[in-house]
Amino acid sequence: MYLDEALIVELRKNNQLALKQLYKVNYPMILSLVMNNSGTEQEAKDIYQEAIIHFYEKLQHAEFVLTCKIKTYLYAVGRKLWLQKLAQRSKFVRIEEVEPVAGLEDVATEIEARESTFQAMEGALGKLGEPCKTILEDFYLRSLTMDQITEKFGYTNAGNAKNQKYKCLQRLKKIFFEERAR
Amino acid sequence: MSMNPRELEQLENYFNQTLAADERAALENRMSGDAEFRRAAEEHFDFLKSLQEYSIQKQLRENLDQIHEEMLTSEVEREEPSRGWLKTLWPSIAVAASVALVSTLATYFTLRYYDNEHQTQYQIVSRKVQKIEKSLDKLKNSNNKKPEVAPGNYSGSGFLVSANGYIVTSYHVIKSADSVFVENDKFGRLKTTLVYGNASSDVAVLLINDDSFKRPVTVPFSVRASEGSIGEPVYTLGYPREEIVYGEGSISAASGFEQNENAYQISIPVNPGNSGGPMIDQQGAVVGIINGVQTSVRGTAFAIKSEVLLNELKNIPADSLSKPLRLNNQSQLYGLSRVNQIKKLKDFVFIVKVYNSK
Repeated sequence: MYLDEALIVELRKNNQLALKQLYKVNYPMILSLVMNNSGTEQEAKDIYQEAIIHFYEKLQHAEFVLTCKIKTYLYAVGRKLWLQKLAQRSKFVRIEEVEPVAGLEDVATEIEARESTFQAMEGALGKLGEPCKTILEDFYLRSLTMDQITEKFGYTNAGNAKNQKYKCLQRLKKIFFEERAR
Repeated sequence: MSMNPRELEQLENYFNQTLAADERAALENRMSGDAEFRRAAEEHFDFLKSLQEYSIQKQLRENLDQIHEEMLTSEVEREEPSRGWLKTLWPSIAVAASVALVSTLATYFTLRYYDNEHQTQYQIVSRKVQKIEKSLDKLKNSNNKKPEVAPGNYSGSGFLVSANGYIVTSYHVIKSADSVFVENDKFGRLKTTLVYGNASSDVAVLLINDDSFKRPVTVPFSVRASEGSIGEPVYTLGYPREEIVYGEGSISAASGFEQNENAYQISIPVNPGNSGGPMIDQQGAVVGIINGVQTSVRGTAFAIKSEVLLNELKNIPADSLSKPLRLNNQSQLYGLSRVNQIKKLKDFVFIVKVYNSK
Protein backbone atom coordinates (compact mmCIF):
# COMPACT_ATOMS: atom_id res chain seq x y z
CA MET A 1 0.00 0.00 0.00
CA TYR A 2 1.29 3.41 -0.97
CA LEU A 3 0.56 6.38 1.26
CA ASP A 4 -0.85 9.46 -0.44
CA GLU A 5 2.44 11.18 -1.34
CA ALA A 6 4.05 8.01 -2.66
CA LEU A 7 0.87 7.13 -4.54
CA ILE A 8 0.93 10.47 -6.33
CA VAL A 9 4.55 10.01 -7.30
CA GLU A 10 3.77 6.55 -8.69
CA LEU A 11 0.63 7.70 -10.52
CA ARG A 12 2.66 10.38 -12.22
CA LYS A 13 4.93 7.61 -13.47
CA ASN A 14 1.89 5.72 -14.86
CA ASN A 15 2.39 2.88 -12.41
CA GLN A 16 -0.41 0.38 -13.03
CA LEU A 17 -0.33 -1.00 -9.48
CA ALA A 18 -0.75 2.48 -8.07
CA LEU A 19 -3.74 3.08 -10.34
CA LYS A 20 -5.30 -0.18 -9.21
CA GLN A 21 -4.83 0.73 -5.58
CA LEU A 22 -6.25 4.22 -6.10
CA TYR A 23 -9.27 2.74 -7.84
CA LYS A 24 -10.04 -0.08 -5.44
CA VAL A 25 -9.55 1.86 -2.22
CA ASN A 26 -11.86 4.72 -3.10
CA TYR A 27 -14.66 3.05 -5.04
CA PRO A 28 -16.85 2.01 -2.07
CA MET A 29 -17.03 5.63 -0.96
CA ILE A 30 -18.45 6.87 -4.28
CA LEU A 31 -20.64 3.79 -4.65
CA SER A 32 -22.41 4.55 -1.39
CA LEU A 33 -22.53 8.28 -2.17
CA VAL A 34 -24.42 7.61 -5.40
CA MET A 35 -26.49 4.63 -4.27
CA ASN A 36 -27.66 6.46 -1.15
CA ASN A 37 -28.79 9.39 -3.26
CA SER A 38 -31.11 7.77 -5.77
CA GLY A 39 -28.45 6.48 -8.15
CA THR A 40 -27.66 3.05 -9.54
CA GLU A 41 -24.48 1.02 -9.48
CA GLN A 42 -23.90 1.80 -13.16
CA GLU A 43 -24.18 5.52 -12.45
CA ALA A 44 -21.81 5.18 -9.50
CA LYS A 45 -19.27 3.51 -11.73
CA ASP A 46 -19.60 6.20 -14.42
CA ILE A 47 -19.28 9.06 -11.93
CA TYR A 48 -16.36 7.41 -10.23
CA GLN A 49 -14.46 6.80 -13.44
CA GLU A 50 -14.97 10.41 -14.52
CA ALA A 51 -13.56 11.54 -11.17
CA ILE A 52 -10.59 9.20 -11.47
CA ILE A 53 -9.84 10.31 -15.05
CA HIS A 54 -10.08 13.93 -13.95
CA PHE A 55 -7.69 13.36 -11.04
CA TYR A 56 -5.31 11.36 -13.20
CA GLU A 57 -5.18 14.08 -15.82
CA LYS A 58 -4.60 16.75 -13.20
CA LEU A 59 -1.65 14.76 -11.93
CA GLN A 60 -0.06 14.79 -15.37
CA HIS A 61 0.39 18.53 -14.97
CA ALA A 62 3.50 19.18 -12.92
CA GLU A 63 2.05 22.35 -11.44
CA PHE A 64 -0.95 20.57 -9.89
CA VAL A 65 -0.65 20.46 -6.10
CA LEU A 66 -3.05 18.46 -3.99
CA THR A 67 -3.96 20.40 -0.88
CA CYS A 68 -5.97 17.66 0.81
CA LYS A 69 -6.11 13.89 1.02
CA ILE A 70 -6.76 11.98 -2.21
CA LYS A 71 -9.90 10.50 -0.67
CA THR A 72 -11.24 13.96 0.20
CA TYR A 73 -10.49 15.22 -3.29
CA LEU A 74 -12.21 12.31 -5.06
CA TYR A 75 -15.22 12.57 -2.78
CA ALA A 76 -15.53 16.29 -3.47
CA VAL A 77 -15.31 15.75 -7.25
CA GLY A 78 -17.73 12.79 -7.17
CA ARG A 79 -20.19 14.77 -5.07
CA LYS A 80 -20.13 17.77 -7.44
CA LEU A 81 -20.57 15.53 -10.47
CA TRP A 82 -23.44 13.62 -8.95
CA LEU A 83 -25.22 16.77 -7.78
CA GLN A 84 -24.94 18.14 -11.30
CA LYS A 85 -26.35 14.93 -12.82
CA LEU A 86 -29.26 15.04 -10.38
CA ALA A 87 -29.88 18.72 -11.08
CA GLN A 88 -30.13 17.93 -14.80
CA ARG A 89 -32.96 15.59 -13.91
CA SER A 90 -34.53 18.36 -11.86
CA LYS A 91 -33.77 16.43 -8.74
CA PHE A 92 -32.33 18.49 -5.96
CA VAL A 93 -30.96 16.74 -2.95
CA ARG A 94 -28.64 17.66 -0.16
CA ILE A 95 -25.49 15.62 -0.02
CA GLU A 96 -23.28 16.44 2.89
CA GLU A 97 -19.99 18.09 2.06
CA VAL A 98 -17.54 16.33 4.31
CA GLU A 99 -14.67 18.75 3.83
CA PRO A 100 -14.66 21.62 1.34
CA VAL A 101 -11.90 21.49 -1.29
CA ALA A 102 -10.72 24.70 -2.91
CA GLY A 103 -10.55 25.15 -6.68
CA LEU A 104 -13.39 22.81 -7.57
CA GLU A 105 -16.02 25.44 -8.35
CA ASP A 106 -16.25 24.57 -12.05
CA VAL A 107 -15.08 21.00 -11.91
CA ALA A 108 -18.40 19.44 -12.97
CA THR A 109 -18.69 21.69 -16.02
CA GLU A 110 -15.05 21.06 -16.89
CA ILE A 111 -15.54 17.30 -16.73
CA GLU A 112 -18.73 17.44 -18.77
CA ALA A 113 -16.97 19.42 -21.48
CA ARG A 114 -14.20 16.86 -21.61
CA GLU A 115 -16.75 14.07 -21.72
CA SER A 116 -18.65 15.62 -24.60
CA THR A 117 -15.45 16.11 -26.62
CA PHE A 118 -14.65 12.48 -25.98
CA GLN A 119 -18.08 11.42 -27.17
CA ALA A 120 -17.87 13.63 -30.25
CA MET A 121 -14.61 11.94 -31.22
CA GLU A 122 -16.00 8.50 -30.52
CA GLY A 123 -19.11 9.30 -32.55
CA ALA A 124 -17.02 10.69 -35.41
CA LEU A 125 -14.82 7.60 -35.52
CA GLY A 126 -17.94 5.46 -35.53
CA LYS A 127 -19.31 7.30 -38.56
CA LEU A 128 -16.01 7.36 -40.41
CA GLY A 129 -16.20 3.91 -41.98
CA GLU A 130 -13.44 1.52 -42.98
CA PRO A 131 -10.55 1.41 -43.67
CA CYS A 132 -10.20 4.98 -42.33
CA LYS A 133 -11.35 4.14 -38.80
CA THR A 134 -8.84 1.33 -38.34
CA ILE A 135 -5.98 3.21 -40.01
CA LEU A 136 -6.43 6.21 -37.72
CA GLU A 137 -6.94 4.10 -34.61
CA ASP A 138 -3.87 2.06 -35.45
CA PHE A 139 -1.81 5.20 -35.79
CA TYR A 140 -3.19 7.50 -33.11
CA LEU A 141 -4.42 5.03 -30.48
CA ARG A 142 -2.32 1.96 -30.91
CA SER A 143 0.82 3.83 -31.99
CA LEU A 144 1.58 1.63 -34.98
CA THR A 145 4.21 3.08 -37.31
CA MET A 146 3.38 4.10 -40.88
CA ASP A 147 5.49 1.16 -42.11
CA GLN A 148 3.40 -1.29 -40.09
CA ILE A 149 0.21 0.28 -41.39
CA THR A 150 1.50 0.15 -44.98
CA GLU A 151 2.10 -3.56 -44.61
CA LYS A 152 -1.11 -4.32 -42.71
CA PHE A 153 -3.35 -2.67 -45.29
CA GLY A 154 -1.31 -3.77 -48.29
CA TYR A 155 -0.37 -0.33 -49.64
CA THR A 156 2.32 -0.44 -52.28
CA ASN A 157 4.46 2.09 -50.47
CA ALA A 158 4.53 4.17 -47.31
CA GLY A 159 3.81 7.33 -49.27
CA ASN A 160 0.43 5.99 -50.43
CA ALA A 161 -0.45 4.94 -46.90
CA LYS A 162 0.48 8.34 -45.61
CA ASN A 163 -1.68 10.11 -48.18
CA GLN A 164 -4.57 7.84 -47.30
CA LYS A 165 -4.05 8.56 -43.61
CA TYR A 166 -4.22 12.32 -44.16
CA LYS A 167 -7.33 11.97 -46.30
CA CYS A 168 -8.92 10.01 -43.48
CA LEU A 169 -7.78 12.57 -40.94
CA GLN A 170 -9.39 15.40 -42.91
CA ARG A 171 -12.64 13.46 -43.04
CA LEU A 172 -12.52 12.69 -39.33
CA LYS A 173 -11.87 16.34 -38.56
CA LYS A 174 -14.92 17.41 -40.53
CA ILE A 175 -17.22 14.88 -38.84
CA PHE A 176 -15.72 15.63 -35.42
CA PHE A 177 -16.52 19.35 -35.63
CA GLU A 178 -20.03 18.54 -36.84
CA GLU A 179 -20.52 16.13 -33.94
CA ARG A 180 -19.17 18.57 -31.40
CA ALA A 181 -21.40 21.37 -32.66
CA ARG A 182 -24.52 19.28 -32.14
CA MET B 1 -9.49 26.02 -46.42
CA SER B 2 -8.38 22.53 -47.31
CA MET B 3 -4.81 21.49 -46.84
CA ASN B 4 -2.64 19.02 -48.66
CA PRO B 5 -0.95 16.06 -46.97
CA ARG B 6 2.37 17.85 -46.89
CA GLU B 7 0.89 20.78 -44.96
CA LEU B 8 -0.99 18.47 -42.62
CA GLU B 9 2.17 16.55 -41.87
CA GLN B 10 4.01 19.76 -41.09
CA LEU B 11 1.27 20.95 -38.79
CA GLU B 12 1.21 17.62 -37.02
CA ASN B 13 4.96 17.67 -36.49
CA TYR B 14 4.69 21.24 -35.27
CA PHE B 15 1.97 20.16 -32.83
CA ASN B 16 4.14 17.28 -31.61
CA GLN B 17 7.15 19.59 -31.42
CA THR B 18 9.16 17.43 -33.79
CA LEU B 19 9.44 19.91 -36.63
CA ALA B 20 12.97 20.93 -37.62
CA ALA B 21 13.93 24.48 -36.58
CA ASP B 22 14.05 25.98 -40.08
CA GLU B 23 10.70 24.50 -41.11
CA ARG B 24 9.18 25.66 -37.83
CA ALA B 25 10.34 29.21 -38.47
CA ALA B 26 8.90 29.10 -41.99
CA LEU B 27 5.58 27.80 -40.72
CA GLU B 28 5.32 30.42 -37.98
CA ASN B 29 6.16 33.02 -40.53
CA ARG B 30 3.36 31.86 -42.78
CA MET B 31 0.90 31.76 -39.90
CA SER B 32 1.60 35.31 -38.92
CA GLY B 33 1.32 36.56 -42.49
CA ASP B 34 -1.65 34.52 -43.75
CA ALA B 35 -4.73 34.94 -41.51
CA GLU B 36 -6.78 32.29 -43.29
CA PHE B 37 -3.99 29.74 -43.01
CA ARG B 38 -3.51 30.64 -39.36
CA ARG B 39 -7.18 30.00 -38.57
CA ALA B 40 -7.13 26.67 -40.38
CA ALA B 41 -3.93 25.70 -38.57
CA GLU B 42 -5.36 26.57 -35.19
CA GLU B 43 -8.47 24.57 -35.94
CA HIS B 44 -6.27 21.64 -36.86
CA PHE B 45 -4.30 21.94 -33.61
CA ASP B 46 -7.57 21.98 -31.70
CA PHE B 47 -8.60 18.81 -33.50
CA LEU B 48 -5.26 17.09 -32.93
CA LYS B 49 -5.43 17.94 -29.24
CA SER B 50 -8.92 16.43 -29.01
CA LEU B 51 -7.70 13.33 -30.80
CA GLN B 52 -4.72 13.02 -28.50
CA GLU B 53 -6.87 13.42 -25.39
CA TYR B 54 -9.34 10.95 -26.80
CA SER B 55 -6.60 8.41 -27.26
CA ILE B 56 -5.29 8.81 -23.71
CA GLN B 57 -8.76 8.65 -22.21
CA LYS B 58 -9.84 5.71 -24.31
CA GLN B 59 -6.94 3.66 -23.01
CA LEU B 60 -7.46 4.85 -19.46
CA ARG B 61 -11.15 3.98 -19.59
CA GLU B 62 -10.43 0.47 -20.86
CA ASN B 63 -7.88 0.09 -18.12
CA LEU B 64 -10.32 1.28 -15.45
CA ASP B 65 -13.07 -1.05 -16.69
CA GLN B 66 -10.69 -3.93 -16.35
CA ILE B 67 -9.65 -2.90 -12.84
CA HIS B 68 -13.33 -2.55 -11.96
CA GLU B 69 -14.11 -6.07 -13.06
CA GLU B 70 -11.05 -7.46 -11.31
CA MET B 71 -12.14 -5.74 -8.13
CA LEU B 72 -15.55 -7.41 -8.01
CA THR B 73 -14.90 -10.82 -9.51
CA SER B 74 -12.28 -13.47 -9.79
CA GLU B 75 -11.57 -15.82 -12.61
CA VAL B 76 -12.58 -19.43 -12.05
CA GLU B 77 -9.41 -21.42 -11.59
CA ARG B 78 -9.02 -24.19 -14.10
CA GLU B 79 -8.48 -27.72 -12.99
CA GLU B 80 -7.37 -29.36 -16.20
CA PRO B 81 -8.17 -33.06 -16.13
CA SER B 82 -4.95 -34.98 -16.60
CA ARG B 83 -4.92 -36.60 -19.99
CA GLY B 84 -1.20 -36.44 -20.32
CA TRP B 85 -0.52 -39.37 -22.61
CA LEU B 86 -3.01 -38.12 -25.14
CA LYS B 87 -1.57 -34.67 -25.05
CA THR B 88 1.94 -35.82 -25.73
CA LEU B 89 0.86 -38.12 -28.54
CA TRP B 90 -1.73 -36.11 -30.38
CA PRO B 91 -2.14 -32.51 -31.28
CA SER B 92 -4.79 -30.77 -29.24
CA ILE B 93 -7.44 -30.98 -31.96
CA ALA B 94 -7.37 -34.74 -31.80
CA VAL B 95 -7.69 -34.54 -28.04
CA ALA B 96 -10.73 -32.33 -28.27
CA ALA B 97 -12.34 -34.58 -30.84
CA SER B 98 -11.83 -37.76 -28.84
CA VAL B 99 -13.13 -36.17 -25.65
CA ALA B 100 -16.19 -35.01 -27.53
CA LEU B 101 -16.80 -38.52 -28.84
CA VAL B 102 -16.47 -40.13 -25.41
CA SER B 103 -18.76 -37.61 -23.80
CA THR B 104 -21.36 -38.03 -26.52
CA LEU B 105 -21.54 -41.76 -25.87
CA ALA B 106 -21.67 -41.26 -22.13
CA THR B 107 -24.42 -38.71 -22.53
CA TYR B 108 -26.49 -41.00 -24.67
CA PHE B 109 -26.48 -43.81 -22.14
CA THR B 110 -27.07 -41.64 -19.14
CA LEU B 111 -30.01 -40.05 -20.82
CA ARG B 112 -31.45 -43.32 -21.95
CA TYR B 113 -31.16 -44.51 -18.41
CA TYR B 114 -33.14 -41.57 -17.17
CA ASP B 115 -35.64 -41.80 -19.95
CA ASN B 116 -36.48 -45.46 -19.58
CA GLU B 117 -36.36 -46.19 -15.91
CA HIS B 118 -37.29 -43.04 -14.18
CA GLN B 119 -39.78 -41.40 -16.38
CA THR B 120 -42.65 -42.46 -14.23
CA GLN B 121 -41.21 -41.12 -11.03
CA TYR B 122 -38.63 -38.51 -11.90
CA GLN B 123 -39.45 -35.79 -14.32
CA ILE B 124 -37.04 -33.20 -15.51
CA VAL B 125 -38.77 -29.90 -15.77
CA SER B 126 -37.97 -28.41 -19.12
CA ARG B 127 -41.10 -27.28 -20.85
CA LYS B 128 -42.41 -28.62 -24.11
CA VAL B 129 -43.77 -25.65 -25.92
CA GLN B 130 -45.75 -27.20 -28.78
CA LYS B 131 -48.93 -27.72 -26.81
CA ILE B 132 -49.32 -24.12 -25.89
CA GLU B 133 -48.03 -23.01 -29.25
CA LYS B 134 -51.22 -23.97 -31.02
CA SER B 135 -53.51 -22.11 -28.72
CA LEU B 136 -51.15 -19.15 -28.85
CA ASP B 137 -51.32 -19.18 -32.63
CA LYS B 138 -55.07 -19.03 -32.47
CA LEU B 139 -54.89 -16.07 -30.17
CA LYS B 140 -52.37 -14.31 -32.35
CA ASN B 141 -54.29 -14.85 -35.56
CA SER B 142 -57.41 -13.50 -34.00
CA ASN B 143 -55.97 -10.13 -33.12
CA ASN B 144 -53.68 -9.44 -36.06
CA LYS B 145 -50.53 -8.68 -34.12
CA LYS B 146 -47.14 -8.69 -35.78
CA PRO B 147 -45.89 -12.22 -36.25
CA GLU B 148 -43.66 -13.20 -33.37
CA VAL B 149 -40.60 -15.42 -33.44
CA ALA B 150 -41.28 -19.10 -33.02
CA PRO B 151 -41.38 -20.04 -29.37
CA GLY B 152 -38.91 -22.91 -29.71
CA ASN B 153 -39.36 -26.62 -29.09
CA TYR B 154 -38.41 -26.64 -25.44
CA SER B 155 -37.80 -24.03 -22.86
CA GLY B 156 -36.15 -23.80 -19.50
CA SER B 157 -34.50 -21.15 -17.39
CA GLY B 158 -30.94 -19.95 -17.01
CA PHE B 159 -28.96 -17.23 -15.28
CA LEU B 160 -26.02 -14.99 -16.13
CA VAL B 161 -23.01 -15.70 -13.89
CA SER B 162 -20.30 -13.72 -15.66
CA ALA B 163 -20.93 -10.23 -17.02
CA ASN B 164 -19.25 -11.03 -20.33
CA GLY B 165 -22.02 -13.47 -21.21
CA TYR B 166 -21.76 -16.87 -19.54
CA ILE B 167 -25.13 -18.38 -18.67
CA VAL B 168 -25.72 -21.44 -16.52
CA THR B 169 -28.64 -23.77 -17.19
CA SER B 170 -29.53 -27.46 -16.94
CA TYR B 171 -27.96 -29.85 -19.38
CA HIS B 172 -31.25 -31.60 -20.07
CA VAL B 173 -32.80 -28.33 -21.22
CA ILE B 174 -30.35 -27.90 -24.08
CA LYS B 175 -29.25 -31.49 -24.71
CA SER B 176 -30.85 -31.98 -28.12
CA ALA B 177 -30.62 -28.40 -29.31
CA ASP B 178 -29.71 -27.25 -32.78
CA SER B 179 -29.74 -23.70 -31.54
CA VAL B 180 -30.33 -22.06 -28.20
CA PHE B 181 -31.60 -18.54 -27.55
CA VAL B 182 -31.99 -16.79 -24.24
CA GLU B 183 -34.43 -13.99 -23.65
CA ASN B 184 -35.75 -11.62 -21.01
CA ASP B 185 -37.23 -8.14 -20.76
CA LYS B 186 -33.97 -6.40 -20.00
CA PHE B 187 -31.67 -7.91 -22.61
CA GLY B 188 -34.10 -9.01 -25.29
CA ARG B 189 -33.50 -12.10 -27.35
CA LEU B 190 -29.93 -13.31 -27.71
CA LYS B 191 -28.23 -16.13 -29.54
CA THR B 192 -25.93 -18.37 -27.53
CA THR B 193 -23.42 -21.10 -28.15
CA LEU B 194 -22.93 -24.14 -25.97
CA VAL B 195 -19.64 -23.95 -24.12
CA TYR B 196 -19.94 -26.93 -21.84
CA GLY B 197 -22.43 -29.58 -20.89
CA ASN B 198 -22.34 -32.59 -18.61
CA ALA B 199 -25.24 -35.01 -18.62
CA SER B 200 -24.32 -36.75 -15.37
CA SER B 201 -24.27 -33.56 -13.31
CA ASP B 202 -26.96 -31.96 -15.48
CA VAL B 203 -25.01 -28.69 -15.72
CA ALA B 204 -24.58 -26.71 -18.93
CA VAL B 205 -22.86 -23.43 -19.68
CA LEU B 206 -23.84 -21.19 -22.59
CA LEU B 207 -22.07 -18.13 -23.92
CA ILE B 208 -24.08 -15.26 -25.35
CA ASN B 209 -22.88 -14.84 -28.88
CA ASP B 210 -24.89 -11.96 -30.22
CA ASP B 211 -23.83 -8.52 -31.40
CA SER B 212 -26.84 -6.91 -29.78
CA PHE B 213 -25.75 -8.08 -26.31
CA LYS B 214 -24.86 -5.02 -24.29
CA ARG B 215 -22.89 -6.49 -21.44
CA PRO B 216 -23.75 -5.27 -17.96
CA VAL B 217 -21.06 -3.87 -15.68
CA THR B 218 -21.60 -6.59 -13.14
CA VAL B 219 -23.97 -9.43 -12.42
CA PRO B 220 -25.64 -9.75 -9.02
CA PHE B 221 -25.17 -13.51 -8.74
CA SER B 222 -22.47 -15.13 -6.72
CA VAL B 223 -22.18 -18.89 -6.43
CA ARG B 224 -22.05 -20.31 -2.93
CA ALA B 225 -19.18 -22.69 -2.22
CA SER B 226 -20.49 -24.09 1.06
CA GLU B 227 -23.22 -26.72 1.33
CA GLY B 228 -26.75 -25.62 2.17
CA SER B 229 -28.39 -26.79 5.38
CA ILE B 230 -31.65 -28.64 5.78
CA GLY B 231 -34.41 -26.20 6.65
CA GLU B 232 -32.70 -23.24 4.99
CA PRO B 233 -35.19 -20.94 3.25
CA VAL B 234 -34.54 -20.69 -0.50
CA TYR B 235 -36.33 -19.30 -3.51
CA THR B 236 -36.18 -19.46 -7.27
CA LEU B 237 -36.92 -17.29 -10.28
CA GLY B 238 -37.71 -19.00 -13.53
CA TYR B 239 -39.85 -19.23 -16.63
CA PRO B 240 -42.55 -21.90 -16.32
CA ARG B 241 -44.53 -19.39 -18.38
CA GLU B 242 -43.42 -16.69 -20.79
CA GLU B 243 -43.24 -14.48 -17.75
CA ILE B 244 -40.80 -14.71 -14.85
CA VAL B 245 -42.26 -16.53 -11.84
CA TYR B 246 -41.13 -16.55 -8.23
CA GLY B 247 -41.30 -19.65 -6.04
CA GLU B 248 -40.19 -20.22 -2.48
CA GLY B 249 -39.58 -23.05 -0.08
CA SER B 250 -36.72 -24.64 1.80
CA ILE B 251 -34.04 -27.27 1.50
CA SER B 252 -35.72 -30.51 2.61
CA ALA B 253 -32.89 -33.01 2.30
CA ALA B 254 -29.17 -33.00 1.60
CA SER B 255 -29.52 -35.52 -1.21
CA GLY B 256 -31.70 -35.75 -4.26
CA PHE B 257 -33.66 -38.44 -6.06
CA GLU B 258 -32.42 -41.91 -5.05
CA GLN B 259 -29.76 -40.52 -2.74
CA ASN B 260 -28.13 -38.47 -5.48
CA GLU B 261 -25.37 -36.68 -3.54
CA ASN B 262 -25.14 -33.95 -6.16
CA ALA B 263 -28.61 -32.63 -5.48
CA TYR B 264 -30.90 -31.30 -2.76
CA GLN B 265 -34.49 -32.21 -2.24
CA ILE B 266 -36.41 -28.97 -2.01
CA SER B 267 -39.94 -27.88 -1.23
CA ILE B 268 -40.27 -25.22 -3.90
CA PRO B 269 -43.25 -25.67 -6.23
CA VAL B 270 -41.55 -26.40 -9.53
CA ASN B 271 -43.14 -26.63 -12.95
CA PRO B 272 -41.92 -27.51 -16.40
CA GLY B 273 -39.81 -24.55 -17.53
CA ASN B 274 -38.22 -24.01 -14.12
CA SER B 275 -35.31 -26.29 -15.01
CA GLY B 276 -32.00 -24.45 -15.05
CA GLY B 277 -33.24 -21.59 -12.90
CA PRO B 278 -31.19 -20.41 -9.93
CA MET B 279 -32.05 -21.49 -6.40
CA ILE B 280 -31.11 -18.62 -4.15
CA ASP B 281 -30.37 -18.45 -0.43
CA GLN B 282 -31.22 -15.66 2.01
CA GLN B 283 -28.01 -13.76 1.29
CA GLY B 284 -28.82 -13.71 -2.40
CA ALA B 285 -26.21 -16.27 -3.42
CA VAL B 286 -26.92 -19.16 -5.78
CA VAL B 287 -27.08 -22.37 -3.76
CA GLY B 288 -28.49 -24.64 -6.46
CA ILE B 289 -29.89 -25.12 -9.97
CA ILE B 290 -33.50 -26.26 -10.29
CA ASN B 291 -33.46 -29.67 -11.87
CA GLY B 292 -36.53 -31.93 -11.62
CA VAL B 293 -39.57 -33.14 -9.71
CA GLN B 294 -40.60 -36.48 -8.34
CA THR B 295 -43.93 -37.28 -9.90
CA SER B 296 -44.92 -39.95 -7.40
CA VAL B 297 -44.62 -37.67 -4.39
CA ARG B 298 -46.41 -34.35 -4.58
CA GLY B 299 -44.42 -31.19 -3.96
CA THR B 300 -41.04 -32.85 -4.09
CA ALA B 301 -38.50 -31.18 -6.31
CA PHE B 302 -34.74 -31.29 -6.72
CA ALA B 303 -31.91 -28.87 -7.30
CA ILE B 304 -28.29 -29.50 -8.26
CA LYS B 305 -25.92 -28.22 -5.56
CA SER B 306 -23.93 -25.06 -6.21
CA GLU B 307 -20.73 -26.88 -5.20
CA VAL B 308 -21.29 -29.20 -8.15
CA LEU B 309 -21.72 -26.17 -10.40
CA LEU B 310 -18.46 -24.66 -9.13
CA ASN B 311 -16.64 -27.91 -9.78
CA GLU B 312 -18.05 -28.13 -13.27
CA LEU B 313 -16.96 -24.54 -13.98
CA LYS B 314 -13.45 -25.48 -12.94
CA ASN B 315 -13.54 -28.48 -15.23
CA ILE B 316 -14.41 -26.60 -18.40
CA PRO B 317 -11.41 -27.08 -20.68
CA ALA B 318 -9.58 -23.77 -21.01
CA ASP B 319 -9.76 -23.91 -24.81
CA SER B 320 -13.58 -23.91 -24.65
CA LEU B 321 -13.57 -20.51 -23.01
CA SER B 322 -13.12 -17.72 -25.50
CA LYS B 323 -13.36 -15.17 -22.68
CA PRO B 324 -12.40 -15.51 -19.01
CA LEU B 325 -15.22 -16.81 -16.86
CA ARG B 326 -15.32 -14.51 -13.85
CA LEU B 327 -17.52 -14.99 -10.80
CA ASN B 328 -18.40 -12.45 -8.13
CA ASN B 329 -16.25 -12.58 -5.05
CA GLN B 330 -19.20 -11.98 -2.79
CA SER B 331 -22.93 -11.62 -3.02
CA GLN B 332 -23.87 -8.07 -3.88
CA LEU B 333 -27.28 -8.64 -2.38
CA TYR B 334 -26.25 -9.23 1.20
CA GLY B 335 -28.53 -7.47 3.65
CA LEU B 336 -31.21 -6.63 1.08
CA SER B 337 -34.80 -7.65 1.64
CA ARG B 338 -36.00 -10.46 -0.58
CA VAL B 339 -38.15 -8.09 -2.63
CA ASN B 340 -35.12 -5.92 -3.34
CA GLN B 341 -32.96 -8.94 -4.09
CA ILE B 342 -35.50 -10.07 -6.67
CA LYS B 343 -35.62 -6.62 -8.25
CA LYS B 344 -31.89 -6.87 -8.88
CA LEU B 345 -31.82 -10.53 -9.84
CA LYS B 346 -34.70 -10.77 -12.26
CA ASP B 347 -32.92 -9.00 -15.10
CA PHE B 348 -30.25 -11.69 -15.03
CA VAL B 349 -32.57 -14.70 -15.22
CA PHE B 350 -33.44 -15.78 -18.74
CA ILE B 351 -35.87 -18.02 -20.51
CA VAL B 352 -33.77 -20.54 -22.42
CA LYS B 353 -35.38 -21.42 -25.73
CA VAL B 354 -34.29 -24.52 -27.52
CA TYR B 355 -34.80 -25.22 -31.21
CA ASN B 356 -34.28 -28.53 -32.89
CA SER B 357 -35.38 -30.04 -36.15
CA LYS B 358 -36.60 -33.32 -34.62
